[in-house]
Amino acid sequence: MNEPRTPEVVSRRQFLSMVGLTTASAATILATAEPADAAGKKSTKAKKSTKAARAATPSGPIPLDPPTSANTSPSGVAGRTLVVIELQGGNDGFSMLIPSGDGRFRQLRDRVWLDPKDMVRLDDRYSLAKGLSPLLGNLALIEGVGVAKPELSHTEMMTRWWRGDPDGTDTYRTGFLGRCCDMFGGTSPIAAVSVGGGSTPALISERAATVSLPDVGSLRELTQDRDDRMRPSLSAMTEGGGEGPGLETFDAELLSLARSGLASGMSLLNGLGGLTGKTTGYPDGLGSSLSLVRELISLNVGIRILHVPWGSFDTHTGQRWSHPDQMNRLGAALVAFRADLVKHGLSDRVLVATTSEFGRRPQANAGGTDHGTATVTALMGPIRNGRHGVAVDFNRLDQAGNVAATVPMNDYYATLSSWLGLPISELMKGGGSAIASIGV
Amino acid sequence: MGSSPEALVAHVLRRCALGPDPARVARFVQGAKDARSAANAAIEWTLQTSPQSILPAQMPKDGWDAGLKGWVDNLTSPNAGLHERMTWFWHGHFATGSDKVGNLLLLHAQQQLFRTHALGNYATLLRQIVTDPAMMLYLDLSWSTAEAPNENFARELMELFSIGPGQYSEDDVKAGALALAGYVVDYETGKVTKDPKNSLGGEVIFLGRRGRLGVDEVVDTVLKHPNCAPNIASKIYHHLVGVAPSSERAAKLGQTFRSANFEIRPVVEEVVRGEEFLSSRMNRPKFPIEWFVQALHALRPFRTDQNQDINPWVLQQLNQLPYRPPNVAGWPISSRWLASDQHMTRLAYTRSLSWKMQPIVAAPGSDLVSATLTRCSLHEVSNRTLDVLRNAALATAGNADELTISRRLITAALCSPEFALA
Repeated sequence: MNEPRTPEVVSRRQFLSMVGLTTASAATILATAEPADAAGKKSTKAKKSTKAARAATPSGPIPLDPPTSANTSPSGVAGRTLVVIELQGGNDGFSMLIPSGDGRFRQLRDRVWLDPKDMVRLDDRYSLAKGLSPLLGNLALIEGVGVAKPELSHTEMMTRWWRGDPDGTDTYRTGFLGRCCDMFGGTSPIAAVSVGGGSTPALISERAATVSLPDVGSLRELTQDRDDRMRPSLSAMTEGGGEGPGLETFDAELLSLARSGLASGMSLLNGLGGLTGKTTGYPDGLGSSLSLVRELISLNVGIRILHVPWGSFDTHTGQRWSHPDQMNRLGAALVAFRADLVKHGLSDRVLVATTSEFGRRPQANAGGTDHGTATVTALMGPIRNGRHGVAVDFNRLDQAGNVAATVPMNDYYATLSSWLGLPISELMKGGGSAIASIGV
Repeated sequence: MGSSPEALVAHVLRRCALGPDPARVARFVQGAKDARSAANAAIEWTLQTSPQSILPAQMPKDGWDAGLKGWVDNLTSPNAGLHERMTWFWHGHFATGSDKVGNLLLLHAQQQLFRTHALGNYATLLRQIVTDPAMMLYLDLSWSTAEAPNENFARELMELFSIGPGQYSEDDVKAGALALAGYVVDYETGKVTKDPKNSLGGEVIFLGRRGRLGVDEVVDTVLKHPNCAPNIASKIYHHLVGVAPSSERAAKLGQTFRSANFEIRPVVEEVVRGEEFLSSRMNRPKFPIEWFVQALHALRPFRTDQNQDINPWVLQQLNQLPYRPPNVAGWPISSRWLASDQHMTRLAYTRSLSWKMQPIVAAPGSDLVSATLTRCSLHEVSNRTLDVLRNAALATAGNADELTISRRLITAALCSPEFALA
């Protein structure tokens, strides 16, 4: 299955020799008080956690049952990659995997009931968003994913998902995905990349290098600039110490972050010169981000996590057209991504997983739905496809009119960490259990 | 304080406008008694600035480009001061996205609203934003009915616009949504009408106040909440000073705000004339829009037509395009603006735009490096960065032309770690 890497891609060794990214400097790239400002509760200069960096980095990957798919990557668990697509704004899972046979649900959603042309009937109980139907057979959908004590604020719930902090009571300085990177061990020049939306709090790490890339347009322009004299010059500026005229006025931590960011940027430019930035076969938007993701995975430089924020799912109004429209785009981008992965022999090494800060309320308002709790998440990869999790109960709504989650964030994240060979007990307080039926 | 007059004046203009025009810095420095008095003169000037030119009421066919360039022109005008700064601040505070509103004229009218009230009265502004067509469309107040109320607006009115998170309950959200229901915005004209059929007939209890509440009563109630004044005053302080205020400072600014009946100017004056302001330098990441404006100040005047091909759409790649906030909370003060993608995009933009620059000329008795830093209003840098700039000026002098050397110098300065901070 595994094809040789395409020739335009740089070798791992070449990349490493050029990168010059020390883990220590890279680790600070994102590690500031981002979650605090996201929560809007603390000053940007929140003190560094006094807790020492997590010491329990495992000496090797945790042995796992092989995936159900026949072919495993030669490098095993260590060669696996996780692509997280964050569906921004609070995705209505009930319009993704639609409980169309549930009378109570039907009644609650009467005002915004989907056009029959936007649904595909699966069985007596469920329909699927039409946009996702080309992925039938290659998609796992998990019902009821949420937290036990939800709040309905975007900022609060985004922060909880980024941090892997279901109740909003923990004080992690790192993002959940960033913590995963810290546990891979320090051998990779870049453990994670965010694509398409700038740097994300989800990837804040203590030690591992997690970086952000601009969109393909900027990259193309940069890799074509022939005056490459600038890169070593700019890199040289990042080696500066604390001396200079007036430099004592600077916030030292921020200046050091600016230096790390610049250093990583220049290293990436040197190392990623082989990226073509070609998006052939992909739709625009999410598609072009995923085309870059595929190229990054093909570099084989140890990037284990890619984060792609996408969409505008805060469907308080216009839900009947905007949600199907986004499902069509999501489906088309994933179809193209999957085809590209298969073409490059990567489909057994890559798991795609969606997240979203919350789902939507069962009871519709006049033209859309308000903030909810549990949602449906989607997985695509060498796993058992179909429906997983536990159906939510529309007859038992809380005071705000929302459903109770049936699959805790911990278990969903445990499924993802299990794919990466990392024990959830080291990543989240209270641990969690990977969803067994998925067979990661 | 020991800082040079240039450094101090540049700081004032960086924070109180969106970027120092180097000529403006020079004007305040010239003839000033000392650094402090030059800085004070600059502060007072920015406080006196009036609204910049406003855009025509009718947009040409290529509306989006014209609208964006118009705002960029205002932001980069040498005459822009606190008025433009606060206009931008309110856009971030009352973030509204074109992806959902679509009609540029409505967004343009909202921008004028921010410009009119930039240093005016927050209570008036809040009252007007609740019935601003663009905002009503963005936060779904249009077509919200009492029978099936839309909670989006009521929630963000409290969480983002006024009293802050943790100050309200879900019951308050529901009550607020009921009280604000019944409006319809005409998408084409922006005309706001209220349909009694879809409005609430009965009473609600909103933030402890019971009654038949409408927009005025809801806004009133929010303004009377004890956390409203300190919360908004803190946000202004955070934006201008770079760090959040101490709780004592926040309470004191809140008092000023309340006793001035929510006049914005007294709070802004107290902040920028306060002790912390001049010493709080280079202590927050530059927003991409600030980097963009300051880069333009450094690169201008161009050899060719001033505004050709400035391409403000680079702001989209930098994730801070006007009218395209990442979410309802606007753009955070955040280290994300120091991450690798920012530096890469900034380098690409500087390389492409610097083709149009006039070569840098050293003043008599000065050198190319100083001239470069002056153009960038960057008066405090590390020795390492100075070395890089000196090398760029010297090592290639024999075989590179003037423009090539100038481009390298300006690229190094605009992409330096120091320039990434504000």
